[in-house]
Amino acid sequence: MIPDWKIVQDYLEILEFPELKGIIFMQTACQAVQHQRGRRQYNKLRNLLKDARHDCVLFANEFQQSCYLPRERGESMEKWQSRSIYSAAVWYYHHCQDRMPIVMVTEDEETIQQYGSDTEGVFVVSFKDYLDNFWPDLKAAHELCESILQSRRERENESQESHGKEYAEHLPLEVLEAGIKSGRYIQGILNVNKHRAQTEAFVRLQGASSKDSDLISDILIHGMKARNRSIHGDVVVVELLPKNEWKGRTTALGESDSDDKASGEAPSEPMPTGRVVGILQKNWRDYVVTFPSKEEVQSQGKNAQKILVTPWDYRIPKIRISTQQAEALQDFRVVVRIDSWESTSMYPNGHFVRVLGRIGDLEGEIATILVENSISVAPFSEAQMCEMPVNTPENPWKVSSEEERERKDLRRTHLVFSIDPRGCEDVDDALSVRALDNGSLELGVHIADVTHFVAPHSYIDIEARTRATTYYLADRRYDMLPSILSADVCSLLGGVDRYAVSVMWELDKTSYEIKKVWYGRTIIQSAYKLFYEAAQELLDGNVHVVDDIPEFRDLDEKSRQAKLDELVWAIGKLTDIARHVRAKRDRCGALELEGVEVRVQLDEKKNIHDLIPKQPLEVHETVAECMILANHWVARKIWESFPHQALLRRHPPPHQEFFSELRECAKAKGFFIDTRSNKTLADSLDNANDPNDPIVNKLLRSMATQAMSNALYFSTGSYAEEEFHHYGLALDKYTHFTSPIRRYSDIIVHRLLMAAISKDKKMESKENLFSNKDLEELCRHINNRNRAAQRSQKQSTELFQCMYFKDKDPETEERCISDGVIYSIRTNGVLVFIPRFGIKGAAYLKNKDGLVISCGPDSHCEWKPGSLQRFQDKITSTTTGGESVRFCLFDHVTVRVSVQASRCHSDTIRLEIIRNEPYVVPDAGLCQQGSLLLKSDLVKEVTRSVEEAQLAQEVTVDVIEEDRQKYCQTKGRSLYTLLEEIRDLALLDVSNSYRI
Amino acid sequence: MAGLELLSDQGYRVDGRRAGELRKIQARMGVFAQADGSAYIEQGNTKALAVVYGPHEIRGSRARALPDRALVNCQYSSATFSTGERKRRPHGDRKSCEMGLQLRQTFEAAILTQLHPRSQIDIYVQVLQADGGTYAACVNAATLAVLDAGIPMRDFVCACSAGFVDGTALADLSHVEEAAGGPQLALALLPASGQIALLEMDARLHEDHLEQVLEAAARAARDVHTLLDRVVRQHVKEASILLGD
Repeated sequence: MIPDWKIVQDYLEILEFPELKGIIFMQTACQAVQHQRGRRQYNKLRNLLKDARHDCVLFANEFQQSCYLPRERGESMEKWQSRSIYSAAVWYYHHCQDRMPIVMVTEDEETIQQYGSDTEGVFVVSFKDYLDNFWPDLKAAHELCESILQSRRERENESQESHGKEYAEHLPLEVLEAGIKSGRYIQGILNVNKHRAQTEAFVRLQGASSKDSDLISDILIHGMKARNRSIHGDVVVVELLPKNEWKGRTTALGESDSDDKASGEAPSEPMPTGRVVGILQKNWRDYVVTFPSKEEVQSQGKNAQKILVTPWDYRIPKIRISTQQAEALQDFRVVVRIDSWESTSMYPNGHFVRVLGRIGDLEGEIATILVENSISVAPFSEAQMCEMPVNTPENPWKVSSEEERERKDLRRTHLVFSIDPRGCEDVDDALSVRALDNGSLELGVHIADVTHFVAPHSYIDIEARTRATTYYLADRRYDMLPSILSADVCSLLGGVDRYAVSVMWELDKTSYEIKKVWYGRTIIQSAYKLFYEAAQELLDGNVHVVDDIPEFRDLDEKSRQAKLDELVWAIGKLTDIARHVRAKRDRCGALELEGVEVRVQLDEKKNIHDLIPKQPLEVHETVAECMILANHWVARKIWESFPHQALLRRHPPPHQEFFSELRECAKAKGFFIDTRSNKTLADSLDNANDPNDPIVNKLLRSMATQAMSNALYFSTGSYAEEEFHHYGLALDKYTHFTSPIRRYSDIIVHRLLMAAISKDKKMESKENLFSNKDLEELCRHINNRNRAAQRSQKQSTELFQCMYFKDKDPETEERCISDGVIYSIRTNGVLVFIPRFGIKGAAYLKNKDGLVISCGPDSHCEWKPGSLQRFQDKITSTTTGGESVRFCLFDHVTVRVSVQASRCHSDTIRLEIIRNEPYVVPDAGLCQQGSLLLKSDLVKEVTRSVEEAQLAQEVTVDVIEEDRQKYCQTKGRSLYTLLEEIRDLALLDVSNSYRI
Repeated sequence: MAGLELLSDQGYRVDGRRAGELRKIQARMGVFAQADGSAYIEQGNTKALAVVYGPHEIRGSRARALPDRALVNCQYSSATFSTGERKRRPHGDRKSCEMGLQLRQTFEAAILTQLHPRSQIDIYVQVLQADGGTYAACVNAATLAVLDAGIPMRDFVCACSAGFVDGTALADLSHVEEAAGGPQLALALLPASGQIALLEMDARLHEDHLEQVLEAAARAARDVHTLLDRVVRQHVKEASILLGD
C-alpha cells in the first residue's frame, strides 16, 4: 500500500495501527509532511518507519533515476506530488515483476479518475474505500477515520465563517527566533497551576535565555487570553509585560469550582508576568475526557454535534469534539486527541479515539491513570515471547555448556544468598562474602544477567525500552520484561543455577580497604532466599527464625547447625563491611541524606508511599550499601572505558531558594536548618528532632526531599565531569546497575560493562553501543518514563484512598476521624498531613459562605462569621463575637476525612478540622500497629469490594442459568420469545400511531 | 528551527547523495590560448576557472625575488553573480585575500619551486558559481592549470571538503549543507604520498570525530584525483593528436 501525501498528513494516526503493515512511504509524501505539518508529525512518521513491528519502508523515489519526474511548467505542487507518487507506484509494481498488486491511496477525486485505470495491478482508491475493502473488521480504524473526517469538515466550515478572534495570532517563527536571540522574548515550558487552571500558569525558563536575563523565578501567565492557546507542557515563547501590570501569585487555597478571585485577597509579591506570543513545540498527547451529562448537554444548546468535553487533567482546557455518539459515551472515560486550536475559537478542536471504561469503575480509573501518564501496557506479543527461553517442568531451563566455559563458576566456591522483602518474585541481586586463602575478604554482589536473554534491538528489547521501567501501582504492577524472565529465568531464586553479572572486591581483612575489584559474568546458585526480617533476626542472634527459612527445614540437626553458623557469619561480616564502607563515605566529608535514602529504599521494596518508613532494620541499610557500592564501582568502570558514552545518574545540588519554606518551618519549632551543603543539611536535620513529636522530623525531612531536584540519568558525553556528582549519596559517580529486571537503564549499564570488559581483554566488542547523542535521547526517555511511573503510582494511591473513604459515612464512621499535623499555612486555610493514612491535604478555615472556623470551650469547631489573619507561622481566626482561635505550624488537630466526588476528574480527599486538639485514639494499639499495614489493608479492601461487586453480577447470571434448567427452556432464542418480541413491536406501533 | 534533515534515516543527503559520495565533476584543460596554462572545473553547481602564468621574471619590485626558489603568487576572486546575494566587489575583500593566501600555501607545497629561483608563478582563480566547496574547486582547477602550464609539481594537489552530521562524516559539502552551520573541514592532499598540503577547519568538532572526518575528506580527495587524472590523460591524448603524431 502506498499512501498519498495528503493521506500521510491527515490519517497518520490510522496508519499507525499495528494491523496495517507493509506500507511504502514515498519520499515525496514524507517531505510534504515535513514542510506542511512541522516537526512533530514528521517525527511520528519517522518513528513509525523505524519501528520494526510495522514493516514500513521509505522509498526515496526522487533519488531514483526512473522515478524522478521534473515538475512541469505551470503544474501545481499538489499535482506534481500526486504524479510522482503514482509513477513511483507503477515503477514499484514493475520492480516486483508485476506479481504484487500495489494500492495507492489518495483523497483527491481527480487523481483517482486520472490514474485509476492507467496501469493494471496498481489500484488507486480513496482511503475510505481502502479501509472498507481491505480492513472491514478493523472497527477502531473506521471509527477513527470517521471522527477525523468529521473534525476536518467542521474545521473547513469554521474557517469559512468569520468569527471574532478570541486570541491574538502567534508570531511567525523567524520573529520568535530573532526575539529570543535579542532577549526580547523568553523561551520556556508552560506549567499550568493545577488548582487555578483557568487563571494561573507559569513558564519555567529553559535554555540559554535564563542565563543572560537576570530573572530567576518563573514567569506568571495570568488568564487564558495571555496564555494564548498554549497547553500545559508546550514549549512557548513569552513576552514580559511592563512592570506595572505584574501580578502576584495567589496563596489562598482555591476550590476548583468556586471563584476565589472575588473575595479580594491580597495576592503575594508581584512577580514577572508575561503573555505567550508563540508556541515553539506543541506537546499534545492523548487526553482522557468525560462527556457532559444529559442536563449539561441541553444547557449547552444549539449545536448538538459539537460537544465540549472536560479533560481529567485540570490543567488542560475543555476540548470541543464533534461526534454523534455523545449520549452513548456519557458515563465513560474516553480518550481524545486535540487536532487544532484556531485563533477564532475559545476551545481547541479534537476528535474521539477510544473508550476506556465506566466512570467510577476501578479498572476504568486505572486505565485513565495509565493513559494520562502515557503508559502503554499491552500484553507481550507472540513475536516477543518467541525470543524468550523456555522453562517448563517438562523442559527445564539449563545452563548451557558453552556458557559454562565462558563464565566464572561460583556455584561450588561461594556461599551466595539474597535478602529481599517477603514474597518477592523478581530477585535482582544476591550477595556473597568469604575469606580468601591469603587472608583477605572477598565481597561479591551478583546481579541477574538480563542482557544475556535480551539481545540488543530484539523485539523484547525494543518493548522494554519503550516501557523503560516496571510500573508499580497501588494494587498491581506492569512488568518491563515478561514474567518468564522477571520471575523465573532471570530471578536469582534459591537452589537453582542462574547466570549473573558479578562485581567482586578483595578487601583487607581488618581495615576493609578495597584492594582489587573484578567484574564479569558468572554462574551462581543462591543458597538462601532470605527476607529482611529473618536476616535481621539472624544478625541479632535469634536462631528461632530458622524455622521460617524453607532451606533449613529438611536438614538434620548437625548439618543444619553448621550451615546456620556459616550463614550467620556471612551476614554479620557483610553488615560489618557495610558499616565501614558507609563510615568511609562519611569521613570523606559527605553525609547521607536520610530522607533521600528512605525514599530510595522504599522504592526498592515497592512500598506505596514514600513517607511511611517501614521499621528500619539494619539489614536494609547493609543491602542498600552493598548495592550503592556496586553501582558506584560500575559507574567508575564504564566511565573509564567509555568517557563519552556511559550512562550515569546524577543528582544536581538543589537551589537554595527552595529551602526557604523548610527553614521557616523549622524556625517555628526553634530549629535551625543549615542548607549550605549536603553535610550541613543532613546534620541539622538530624538535630531537628522534637522528642515529644517524631512527626515533626519526618515532615521536615520530606520537605527537604521536596525542595531537592530529582536525580536524573544522563550520558557522560553531554556534561562536564564536575556535574556528575550525586548530591544525595555524596558520590562523584553513580549509576544504576543492580535492578536490570525492572529498569531499562540497568540493562544499558550492563551492556556497557560487558563492552568495557571485552575492551579490556582487547576483544572486538560485539555489541554496538549507543552514541552520546542517542544515549542522551534515551536517557531523556527513561527519565520521562520514571517520572510517569512515580506520578501514576501516586495517583493510583490517591484513587485507592478515595475509594476507601467513599463508602464510609464521615459523620458516623470512626475511621474517618483522625489526627493531623499542620505543615503549611495559607491565607484561607492550612495544609494538613495525616500520618495514619499518609494523606496530605488542605483544610479550609473559611468556607464558601464566608464563615470562619471557631472553637467552643470543649474545643469542638463550628462555622461562624468572622475573619482570618495570617502570620508567618500561624493563622488566627476571629469571630465577630470576639472569640479567636489560633493554628500554628506543627499543631496537632483532629480532622474528618471525606471524599469530594467529581464526575470529570478524579475524586479528591477533603479534610475538615473538627477539633483543635490532637485526636485521642480510643484504641492505642491501632496507632502502634503502624500505618503501613493499614495501607496494604486499604488496597486489599478496595480490591475485595470491587471483586464482590463483580461476583454479585455473576450471581444474577447464575440465577438465570438455574431458571433455564428448571423450566427446561431452550438456550437460544425460542419461538416464544420471538413471538413475544413481535407482539411488543406491534403494541408499540399501535400506541405510537394512536398518539399521533 | 524547522531544521533541515541533512542526513535522512535511510542515509540520503538533501540532494540524494550518500554520505561519502562526490558531486559530479567535469573538467577541461587548456581553455585559454593566451595564458600559459588554464583549466575549468565544475563540481556539481560550483564552477571555477583557473589561469596560470609563468614561471617568468619577477614583475614589480625586484626585491621580492627569492634567491633559492620561485615566488608563487595567487589571486582569488569570485564573480559578483556567483552567490545567492549579489556581491559588491569581485576581489580584494578579506575573504578573497584569505583564500588567496591559502591557495598560495597549498601550491608552494606542491610545486617544485626550487627549480626556478628568482622567478615568479602567477595563479589566478575565479569562481563563477559558488555552491559549496569553493576552496576545493579552486585547488582542483588550479592543479589542472599548473599541469597545463607544464610547471613541474611533486604530485597532483586534490582538495575536498567534509562535514559532520549526526555522527556521520559527509564528503564534498554543498552550499545547503555548509549553511546548516556544522563543522566543515577543507583538505588538500598529495594523493600519491598521502601528504597533506593544507588542512583547515574553523568550527568546533570533538577530537574523537576528527579522524573520521579527515578520513572521509581524504578518501574523497583520492576520488577526485582519479577523476582529474583521467581528465589530464584525455587532454594529453587530444593534444598529441592535434600535434599530428
